[in-house]
Amino acid sequence: MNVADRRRILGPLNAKPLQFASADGNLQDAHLQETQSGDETLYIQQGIVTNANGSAYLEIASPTKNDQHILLLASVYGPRPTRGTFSARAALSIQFKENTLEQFTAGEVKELCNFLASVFRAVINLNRYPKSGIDIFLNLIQYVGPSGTSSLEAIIPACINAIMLALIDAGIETLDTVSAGSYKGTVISFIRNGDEIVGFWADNDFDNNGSYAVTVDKCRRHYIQNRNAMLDYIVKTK
Amino acid sequence: MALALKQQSECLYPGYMICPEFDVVEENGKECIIKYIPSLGVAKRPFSVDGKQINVLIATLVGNLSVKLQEDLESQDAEEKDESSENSVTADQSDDESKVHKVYIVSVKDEKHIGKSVRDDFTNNLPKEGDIVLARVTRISLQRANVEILAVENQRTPIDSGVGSNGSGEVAAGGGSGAATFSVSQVSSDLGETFKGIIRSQDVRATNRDKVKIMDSFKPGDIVRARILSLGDGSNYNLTTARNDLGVVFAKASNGAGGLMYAIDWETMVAPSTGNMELRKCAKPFE
Repeated sequence: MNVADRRRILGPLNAKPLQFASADGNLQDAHLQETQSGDETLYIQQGIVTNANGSAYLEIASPTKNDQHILLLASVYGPRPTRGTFSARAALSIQFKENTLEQFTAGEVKELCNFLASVFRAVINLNRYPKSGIDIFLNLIQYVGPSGTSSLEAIIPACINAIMLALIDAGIETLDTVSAGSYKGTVISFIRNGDEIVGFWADNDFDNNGSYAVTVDKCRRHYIQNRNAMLDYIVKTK
Repeated sequence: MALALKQQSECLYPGYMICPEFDVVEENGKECIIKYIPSLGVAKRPFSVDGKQINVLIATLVGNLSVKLQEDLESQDAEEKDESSENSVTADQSDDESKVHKVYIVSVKDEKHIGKSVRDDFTNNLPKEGDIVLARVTRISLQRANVEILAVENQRTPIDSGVGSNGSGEVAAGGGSGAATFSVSQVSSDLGETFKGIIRSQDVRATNRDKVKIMDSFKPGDIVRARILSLGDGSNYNLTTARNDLGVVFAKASNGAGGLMYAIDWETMVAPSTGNMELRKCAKPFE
């Protein structure tokens, strides 16, 4: 058994194993925040994707909605150069990916991306970034809907919040702090303190009995909760 | 001034209303109209107040407010520009414009980035007209030198510099935002996607411009300090080195095989190890 192991390159005889310094736990705590927004608990952390220009990680738990859980990560790359024809405004692309269980069909995902892109085209100050493109990636790490069901409307507000926080982290100019609220399968995205609507999403089972005014009002309330939670986080971590 | 008081303390966020575009203050018993110009991190948006449309400056970034008085000469220039560019100004607005006494530039600065930049202003990342940039020569021809822009002088680079916006970060299926026009052949070998530029032979130096030989001015791989002439077309910025302090700053001898060379005058560089001289359009290294 004195044959040297030729299959691998061995280190020198006096080599010592590598030892890493223990991570400083206190350092991270400054960026963590749990906010109670209405009946939801929100956990926010910005800037965890180091090679992205900006990123935000969101955990949302809603005990009142049959233990709904959402873990979501948004990362923003760019502005990066585009080729070909000259464009005075930035191009925007949004990609959505489910990292664990695939609960949504490709068609639903595409629809979601188009909806989010239209919301953020209205909000990002695209004129500041000529000849360039902004790429946004959403990773849905976990989603447990009420009683095992899955519906897009539950995650859209979370998607909008996550992208908004990632854009802020990236330092990309946005005309407002956009957020959204949902009520019975309808999602409405607001800006300007709820005075302007930039996105409207109604699921198939839209409650026809309820009036739009009630829906908009409920969504606006949810939007204000969401937005205040985000602003709270932004101002506190500054 | 009320605005100045806010300057230090409050943290602004996107959508925060800073001030109206025009304001009237009492100064030495005289009425003085103040105009606020949006700069970085600030945008001008119309708002309706009691059925009346007014322009309001809002923050578009998270950070602290910074308000600077514009120099008198510049302010007059800016006013003239404004008037010529905004054809749709209503009668009472243009009337306001003629009475303007003071012009302030409003911007939102992020403290987080102050340590990272040469100048302590938070600045936009994209090269724009008049900026000085550092670029690398990627190919040369008789008429022009193609370059890729590495950095904008005196501005912070994006966080993902060298990986995302300048490099090979995550790219969406189908190419993401650059999808329609993206082609692998245009991606440079080791820096990934970068903003490209062109230095035409007429723009290499200010004098004797017809006699310029690109071959005797740049070589592929040289690092060049250049000024942005215009945003150019879809794929290239137009750059110029026609100034004493612009030109090649770093170059390697023998087409990159040798060591770094030093400029000995504006058109010659020398390799200290061999003593060989090569022709370049050099940047003046000292002010």
